[in-house]
Parts: sequence; structure tokens; C-alpha cells
Amino acid sequence: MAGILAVVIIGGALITLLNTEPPADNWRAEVQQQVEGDREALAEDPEAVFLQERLTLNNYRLDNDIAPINDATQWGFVDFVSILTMFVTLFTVIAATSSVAGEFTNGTIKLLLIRPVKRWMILLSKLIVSLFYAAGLLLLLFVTAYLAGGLFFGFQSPQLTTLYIDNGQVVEQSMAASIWAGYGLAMVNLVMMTIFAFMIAAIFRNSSIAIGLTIFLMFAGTNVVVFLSQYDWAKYILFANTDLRMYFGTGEPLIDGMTLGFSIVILAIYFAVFAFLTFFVFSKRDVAA
Amino acid sequence: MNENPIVKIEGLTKTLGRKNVVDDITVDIYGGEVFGFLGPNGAGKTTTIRMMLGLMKASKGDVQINGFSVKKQFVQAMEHVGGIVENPEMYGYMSGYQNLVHYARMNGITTKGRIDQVLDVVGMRESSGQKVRRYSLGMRQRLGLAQALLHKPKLLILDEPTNGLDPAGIREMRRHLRYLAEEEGMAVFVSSHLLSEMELMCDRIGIIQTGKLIDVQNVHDFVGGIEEKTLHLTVDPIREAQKILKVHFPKQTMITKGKTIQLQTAPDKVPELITELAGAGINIYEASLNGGTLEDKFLKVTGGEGVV
Ligand SMILES: Nc1ncnc2c1ncn2[C@@H]1O[C@H](COP(=O)(O)OP(=O)(O)OP(=O)(O)O)[C@@H](O)[C@H]1O
Ligand SMILES: [Mg+2]
Repeated sequence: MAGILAVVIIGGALITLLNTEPPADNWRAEVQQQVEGDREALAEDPEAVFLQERLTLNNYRLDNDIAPINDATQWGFVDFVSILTMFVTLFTVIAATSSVAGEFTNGTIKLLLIRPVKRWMILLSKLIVSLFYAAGLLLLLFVTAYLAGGLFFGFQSPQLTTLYIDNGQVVEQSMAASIWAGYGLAMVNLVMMTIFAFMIAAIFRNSSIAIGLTIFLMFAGTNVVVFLSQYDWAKYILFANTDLRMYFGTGEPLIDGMTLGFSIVILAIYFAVFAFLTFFVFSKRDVAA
Repeated sequence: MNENPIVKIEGLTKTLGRKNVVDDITVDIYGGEVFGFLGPNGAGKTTTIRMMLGLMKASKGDVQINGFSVKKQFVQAMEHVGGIVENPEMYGYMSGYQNLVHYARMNGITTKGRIDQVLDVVGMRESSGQKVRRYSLGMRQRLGLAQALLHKPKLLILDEPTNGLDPAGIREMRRHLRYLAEEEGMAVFVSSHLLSEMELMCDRIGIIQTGKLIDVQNVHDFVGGIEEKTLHLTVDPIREAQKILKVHFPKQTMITKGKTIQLQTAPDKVPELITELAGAGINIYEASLNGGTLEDKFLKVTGGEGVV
């Protein structure tokens, strides 16, 4: 798993290197050029929001002397790679599921549960290990991206500023905050998906069914929620709340009126219910495997 | 045999669906004995063992191991029992040794060298470095036994331990179990559907059919006893022998086949008969008693089909 992740990152770095123009020595000239182009385009189509925003941002850059961050720079790359946390989730779900359901499928559960240890302790230790595994993979993702970015694009100080537009206003954000949102908040999603995977595994007790079902629900859930976001009640669905990045930086809450506090409460409730079900089912059900 | 039972099974019942798969089983098992749990396929042996090990919850009744209730004091009860349920599945991606390290930790074993000790007992020292995935069934059974012995339990539970073993392996398993009961004073609980095998390794045998414990017998009652069994005698000359036997069993019609005479008698009388025949100068080539009460019962249970 770790190997696959490293290969994907380094491959990503190479592709980025080949496809992105390296940061220009004179970024002002480039930005200026883009500003002029955008102005002409806007003259023809004044409604183009994307162009308007880019124009606003670029003017802000020129006025405040803030260079754009190119993907083909170390921190630009690290930020870009944070979309790979998706793989971390995938690997964690697989590992978590097989650590529970696999014991039933392989029959090893019998020799495991006849030890002088309470069942809930065995399950808790598996949960803790899975979370450490998730955190480890996340750290590995970050470190590999940092090193690959540094080696391919040159090491860079992290004291950079990114810009985004919020309600028509330009907002400055430090690179560190953006990276934190990309990687740190992924851990929240990882914790939720791990307990979700545990629950499915404890109920179905079959690795392939449990892995398939968890991954299916995870992807289907994320998409269905977008589809349902026109309804207000959709905000109570787990998957509407797992991506907390919507409350930070350029993110937009999925449904108007959702707040960070709301999502945290919803996530806590789901976690408690999932954890209760998982531990209850695992401790009480007969082992006939 | 010790005085106090190590295992007390009291009214143990498991209801699955509408059926009592295990039905009100009560029996005590003592230290120093090998107890055989004999029954045809589907009789409920494995289900009983699962309840004894806490893998399944008893619908009614309970099992006490060394005084601890499996239902209420699971952890303490499990400290005194080691076992295998059906096949000894372990982690294939780890070596035999690593598997034992894992189980030793879970049993709170800190004494160094205990793992090597049990590996020596089952003769697996050499192959313990190999991945379990590559083990043969016989090697897995041995490692399974090693795992069950790690924490020096008072009770050893084995579900069809000779499954998949060759004749030499079966003999060795038998020797192990006899040794553990006789020398280490363990209570050994073994299930099987083969009477012949059980007779050789057990002190007592309980017969289970459709969940009910029908009968518990001492194996040594087979020798001696007053219940009638069938005696086969291969003798020469056969007429002289028949005359002598007629005196003892005036009312019986003896069945004669070639040089073999078949008759019903109490085992107690057999030595006397043989002495007399020998005294009369009759050559005895073979004398065998069978159709013991246990076998009769077991045959009835299994419908006399080939499982015995
Ligand atoms: N969910 C269930 N509902 C009803 N009956 C069941 C269920 N699961 C198992 N059984 C029945 O329980 C009985 C006991 O099975 P068990 O595995 O204990 O038998 P066994 O004596 O170990 O047999 P074997 O010699 O084949 O290993 C079987 O007859 C089986 O049909
Ligand atoms: Mg069985």
C-alpha cells in the first residue's frame, strides 16, 4: 500500500513537471499578460464569473506583490497532492475491513476469541491500529510529496501566501493553512470511514462483501449527497458532513446554513452510533465461522 | 483421576432456529482423564465445544471451567483452557513461531522459552520458522496443539484432532493426549465420530446424538463386565471344542463357520473357558470379544452405517 502511494506521488510529480510550465522568473509580466487577455474577453462576455474572479485575484497580486503558486513548485505540489488522501482512505478502509472481517473469512477468529481477553478489547485494539495506520499513511503521503516536490522542483520556504475570493473579497491564506486543510482535515474523514468500515465488517463478517460494500457506499454516498443537496434534510446525511474542507479556504458548504459546528455534532453522533453497533455486534454475536 | 471436576457442564443447551442443536447436556470432566465426545456428523459436538470456549452463547445452562463460569467470568475461565475448534486456522502470512508469539502475548505469557518448550513437545522446533501458509495439514494440527498448550491450561479441548493425520500422526497424537492427562494431570476433552479411535485414547466416552448425551461409559468396562457380548473362537479340532462349550451353554445354539465358533457370553467367563479348552488339548488360534454395550449403542445411534 505504502509503495503504491509513493509510486503514485512520484509519477504525479513527473507528470506535473512535464505538463506545467515552470514558474517564470518574472511572474509580474505573465500575470500582466493574463490580466490584459481577461479584460478583452470580459469586454465580449461581461457575465463570465471565472474570468472576473481571476481578474480580481491577479490585480490583487500585482498591487500587493504576491506571486502565484505554481503546481510545479515544492509547496504547490504538496498542496496539489492532497487530493491523493482519497487513496489513503481507500487503503485504510481495506485494511480496517480485513482486520475484522478477514478473521472470520479465514477462520482465525476462533483462536483469537478463546484468549482470556474481552472481545471489546480485541476490537478496540484493532480500531486503534487502523487509525494509526491511517495517520501513518497520511504522514507518508505528506512526507513523500514534500521530498518529491523538493527533489523535482527545488526546496522552498513554506512561508507563502495563497489567495482566494470569498463573497467578492480577496482573502489571503498562508500556505500552511491550506496544507493543513488538505491533510489534517482528511484525518476526520479517515476516522469516520474507519469506524464505518468496522461496522460493515462486524455485521457482514466476509472480507470481500464488506470491502465492496464499504467502498461502494463511500463513493455512492459522496455523489448522492451532491445530487440531494437541493433538499435541506440532506445535511443530516453522513457523507454531506465528512469533508470539512468545505468550511475552509475556497470551500463552500454543501447546503446553505451548514456550519462547522453543525457538521462536528452530526459526525460525533454518527461516530457514536457506528461505534456502539460495531462493539455490540462484535461482542454479542455467536461465532460460527 | 482427581476428585474435583475441572469442567462442569450443566444443562447446556443451544437452540438454533427451532431445533435444540445441543440439548440439556450435563457431565463432569476430571483432571487426568481423556474424555471422548463421540457422535455422528451433525450431532452437535462442535456446537458444544463452541459453547465451552465462549464462541457461542449457551441458550440455557452453563459451563464451569476450574470453577469459573464461561458465561459470567469469561476471562478467568479462558485462562484455564486451551483448544482447537474444527481446523486450527492461524495466520498464514506469519511463521509458526510468530503465530505462537502472538497467542502467548494474548495469554499474558512472559516466560521466555515457553514457546520453544511447546514447540519441542509437538516436535515442530525445526519448521517453526516457515510461514504457516506452507504447512501441511499435519503440521497445522501440531502447531494448533502447541498453541493450545502455551499457557499450561487445566483443560484441553480438541475437536476431531486426528482429522487429516496419517496413522503415524494419529498414534503420536494419542500418545500426546495420554501423556498430558496422565503426567500433567490435564483434563482432555476430544471429539470424534470414530469409536475405534476413541477406545484407544479415552478413559471415558460420552455418546451424543441429535444434541442429547445418550450415555457415558468407562472404556475399561469393556474388559470384564457381566453384560453379554459376542465371543468368536477359532479352534481346532472344532467338534471337541463344541462339546466342552455345550456343557457351559446348554441352552445356546452356537453358530459355526469353518473353524470359528460364535456364542454369547459375559466377558467375565472368557478366561475360564479358554483355560478349559486349552486344558483339553484344543488349539486356540484366535479369541475375540465384540459387540460391547458401547458399540451396540453407538451402532444403534449411527444406524449401523460405516461411520464406526
Ligand atoms: N443456524 C442453524 N439453524 C439450525 N440448525 C443449525 C444451524 N447451524 C447448525 N445447525 C445444526 O446443528 C447441528 C450440529 O452441528 P455441529 O457442527 O455441532 O455437529 P458436529 O457434531 O460437530 O458434526 P461433525 O461431526 O460433522 O463435525 C447440525 O445438525 C446442523 O444442521
Ligand atoms: Mg464438528
